[in-house]
Amino acid sequence: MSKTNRTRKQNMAGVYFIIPSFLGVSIFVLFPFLDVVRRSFVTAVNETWVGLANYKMVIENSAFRLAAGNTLRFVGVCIPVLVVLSLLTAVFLYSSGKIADFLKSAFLIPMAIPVASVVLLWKVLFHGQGMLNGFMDKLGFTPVDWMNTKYAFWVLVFSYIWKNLGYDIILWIAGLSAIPSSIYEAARVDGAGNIRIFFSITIPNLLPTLYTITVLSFLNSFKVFREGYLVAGDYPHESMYLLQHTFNNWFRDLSFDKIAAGAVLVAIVILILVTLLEKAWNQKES
Amino acid sequence: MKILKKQILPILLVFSTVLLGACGKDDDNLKKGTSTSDSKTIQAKGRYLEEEVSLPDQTGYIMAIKRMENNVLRLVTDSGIYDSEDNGDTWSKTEIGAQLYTESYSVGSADIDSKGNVILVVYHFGDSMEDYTIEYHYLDKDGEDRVLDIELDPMDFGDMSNGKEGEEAPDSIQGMDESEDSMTQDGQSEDESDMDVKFNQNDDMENAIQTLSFADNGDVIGMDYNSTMLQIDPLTGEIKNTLKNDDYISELVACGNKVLLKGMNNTLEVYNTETLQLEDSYPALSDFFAAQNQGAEGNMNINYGVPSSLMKVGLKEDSLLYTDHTGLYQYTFGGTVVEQIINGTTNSLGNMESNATALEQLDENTYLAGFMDIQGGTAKLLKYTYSGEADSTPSAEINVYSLKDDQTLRQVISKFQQNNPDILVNLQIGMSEGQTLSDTLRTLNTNIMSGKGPDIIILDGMPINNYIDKNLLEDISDLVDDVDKSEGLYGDIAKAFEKDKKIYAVPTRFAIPTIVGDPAVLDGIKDAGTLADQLEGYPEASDQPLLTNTYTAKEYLKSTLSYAYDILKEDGTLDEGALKAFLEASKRGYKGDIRGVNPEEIDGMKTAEEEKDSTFGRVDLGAGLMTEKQILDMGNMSTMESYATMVAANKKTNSGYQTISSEDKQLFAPNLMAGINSKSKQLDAAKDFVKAMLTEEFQSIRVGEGFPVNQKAFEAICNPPREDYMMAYMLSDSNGASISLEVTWPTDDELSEIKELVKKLDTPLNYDSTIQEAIMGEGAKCLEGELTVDEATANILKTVQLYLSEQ
Repeated sequence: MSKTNRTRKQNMAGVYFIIPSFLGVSIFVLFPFLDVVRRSFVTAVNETWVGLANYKMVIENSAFRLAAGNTLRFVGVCIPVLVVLSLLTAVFLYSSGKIADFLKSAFLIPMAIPVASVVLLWKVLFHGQGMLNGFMDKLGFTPVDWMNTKYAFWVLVFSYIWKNLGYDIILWIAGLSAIPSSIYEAARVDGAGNIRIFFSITIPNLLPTLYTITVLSFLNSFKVFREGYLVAGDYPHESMYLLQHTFNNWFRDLSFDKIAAGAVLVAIVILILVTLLEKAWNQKES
Repeated sequence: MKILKKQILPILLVFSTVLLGACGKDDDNLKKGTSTSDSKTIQAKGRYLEEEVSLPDQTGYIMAIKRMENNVLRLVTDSGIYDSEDNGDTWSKTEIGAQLYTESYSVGSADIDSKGNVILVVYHFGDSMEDYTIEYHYLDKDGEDRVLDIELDPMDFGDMSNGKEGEEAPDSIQGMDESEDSMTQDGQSEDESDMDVKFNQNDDMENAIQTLSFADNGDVIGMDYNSTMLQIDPLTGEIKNTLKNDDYISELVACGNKVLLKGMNNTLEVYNTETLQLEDSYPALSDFFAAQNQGAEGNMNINYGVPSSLMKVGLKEDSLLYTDHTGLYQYTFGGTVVEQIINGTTNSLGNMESNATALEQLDENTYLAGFMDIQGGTAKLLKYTYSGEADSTPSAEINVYSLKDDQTLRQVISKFQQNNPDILVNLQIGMSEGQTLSDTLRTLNTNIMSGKGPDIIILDGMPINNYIDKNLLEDISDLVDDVDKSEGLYGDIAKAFEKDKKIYAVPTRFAIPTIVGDPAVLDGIKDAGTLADQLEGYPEASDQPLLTNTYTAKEYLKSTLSYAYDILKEDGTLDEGALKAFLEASKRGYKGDIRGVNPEEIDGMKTAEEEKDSTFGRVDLGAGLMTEKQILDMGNMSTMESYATMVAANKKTNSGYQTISSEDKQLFAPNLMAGINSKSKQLDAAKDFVKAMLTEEFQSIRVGEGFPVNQKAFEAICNPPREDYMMAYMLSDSNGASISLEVTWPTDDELSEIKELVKKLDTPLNYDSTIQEAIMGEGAKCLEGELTVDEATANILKTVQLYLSEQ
């Protein structure tokens, strides 16, 4: 048997193994999504064909535009900050010895805290008469209504980073562990300093990990809606009004046509972003 | 071989996964009581059929029914004693006890033993109705009348509580405004003279036996007003044995050698009839009673707010029958199961306008039950007979969805099912504890989109316009027009949600937002601002809010929100100027309203506010002004009884009333707005139901809240529910002295006044729940000083604009 045939047969065996999982994903994700695409072209209840009218309605909807803008802004701020902060922390922890184990666990604790508890913490800290304002008042500053002003966005960013930092640190550390130490040794022998080693060896070797972390962090960014919803309800301050708020409220209003069109648009944007990201990493790798 | 393994193994894995994961059985048919073994659907058979037995004219309240040893049925009522020799089909009045059915006597309660002997509690009147004595008569089967001299202990007021010394007196003697602080925790009034004033009229109250039952051994077991259980020899009146009970007993029945006591919260105690000693508990029965009490909302006596139930000894030895609005049940002592014999949802047992007052099992498959119409005071005797031929469940089933439980709706369903035994109507209540309105609506929408939505939706609190725009609701203009032509509806009310000549939602009930007070004060009130002027400018402060029931900012806003009707513009946006003016006025008004109230009391009310159920209408509108601590009262007038109360209170306090209106709008609050799901699979049955809701028969139901939109029904409810209609309220005035308010039915002129008023109503008050929540939430903060008017206005506008921009 030729090498190509053997490779093809090996690949087919692999395909057979993923078929059950693929079937499950198809039934619970792909087929429903196809139904969503179908619903994006019909009315909500009667399912009368309306063509692109739903898309036009969604794009012209000011609430959707506000939410999309806030979501992009949130992702645009949070992902870079989270990636850089978690990388620096991981590098520090990787070279910290025994205390690193304790610190790693400490960074992971926020992920284990239930959402309801986080919400309670938010309220205690950031309420108009909360601890933070009490502290500020004692220092002579004017208290701020954190959740009902533009600062609500930054509270959301802080919450997201606080919750997800540990997870990304662990992924970075795993990536760092995979870099052979011989490369570092060789670099030091050649006279490279720490900063040169970091940018020339560590970063390039962490690119696959960076891709994974970026995608996972991006997906996790949508989960921050839970805290925002529990604290501020259906209509929070406009700075933290995200796409999920819009979809959630449209669901309450039976606007399934708008939800479907909006979901398809969001999926297209995410697909484009992920595809561009993948191409960029692949180019860098080659 | 290796290659073969590599090829075959993955294929085998795939197929085994598909086979294991794809299997399933369709159990739906089995759940609905049909068989999948045949190609045809087989409907299960057998259920109890209800039949009304005709009674002689003027038959009164049925107190007891018993099959005697000679197989004759005996009926004791408050109008006479009747016998039936044909298994209850026909009845004739006997001469037994005829002397007790004259003008000088009134029979209060009774029981019959298997020999036909009757024990009666009788009120013997003197010169007036207030001058009476209570007598106990034993009528033997031949009619000989023996007056029993039963010596009861005097009334013990100090111990008349819920079982704990010094707590509130029971409702039977209380009747006082609970907002008064006259009773302290140890049962003593803070002012001794108050105690004298309050209980003077009760000092003469005579202790009496309130309920009694024949035991198998021939003794009579009774309970007096002191909650003392008595074992009495019916021949001599001698009290053989007594037992003081801690709990207030709502019902007593002797069953074989046991006597069962049911407490106010459906607690159960079982005693031996010989010794009056407590027996072992019966967990199955106790658990059953506890469950019935928890589900008591649909089981409530609509007038007294207590579960309406009856216990009776069954035919078999040691068997107990129990009935309430959910059905008829049987329990055999020592058993582990309480069996439902008859489901109350499809017959008169579920009718909340009447209570079962007597019950007797005639044979294995036949029951006889006496009912009393609460409002009309008429008695009915119904026979339930098992038919093996009738379908066990109706062939059609419709689901009615409502966010909140509603007694009117339950009564409508019960009546509809009685009239349409082939249709089963299920009531689904959306809101549950801890769930927000948004979450509830999402759950409803999920069900609708998955094809499991309700057939009829009661749209109170829901985004009606949204549902109309989404084509969720069926056009029901044809059936509304039908009823309008045949019986007449108040068009501006019934067609309030008409759009492009189509009606998608119809209010089946409504209330009138009203303000009550001194006419001189009322004259100056046109809107929230002038209301605030009156409250601010009132010369005397009070230790209670000047506007009744407005301790907290939210309560104030809720009471006065009717004045915010012009905030919402026709295009759906908020008028910023009107909103700001409303908040400014409310802030001033609230400040003036509570200036004399203790702030701690307001804080206490805030905690209670979360747990309070909000009611649609006010049954005691205007009555609070009698205390002279309030000057105004606002709320929805929603029944003729509440109008009667308001009119009576106004006469006492020289107050007037006016409805909330502007120059060109007469406002009303719609209630029980019905719509039909356009995706319903039982469209015809759903339309029949909604049409029935609008007809005079259903609109005349005097249950729950809301005036009928049917004009004939409105005329009908202008007649008093009973000839001698009279209600009484007891309050304390500013000096602590008792004030009583007797409410009689309005005069013809007063009834004409309200009829004319209703004809003018044309504008529904129907705030979108999101907008209302925003106004109440930020508005309360503004009234409490947490936010300025501008800040609150800005916050509300932001929320509402965001909400509106999503549409």
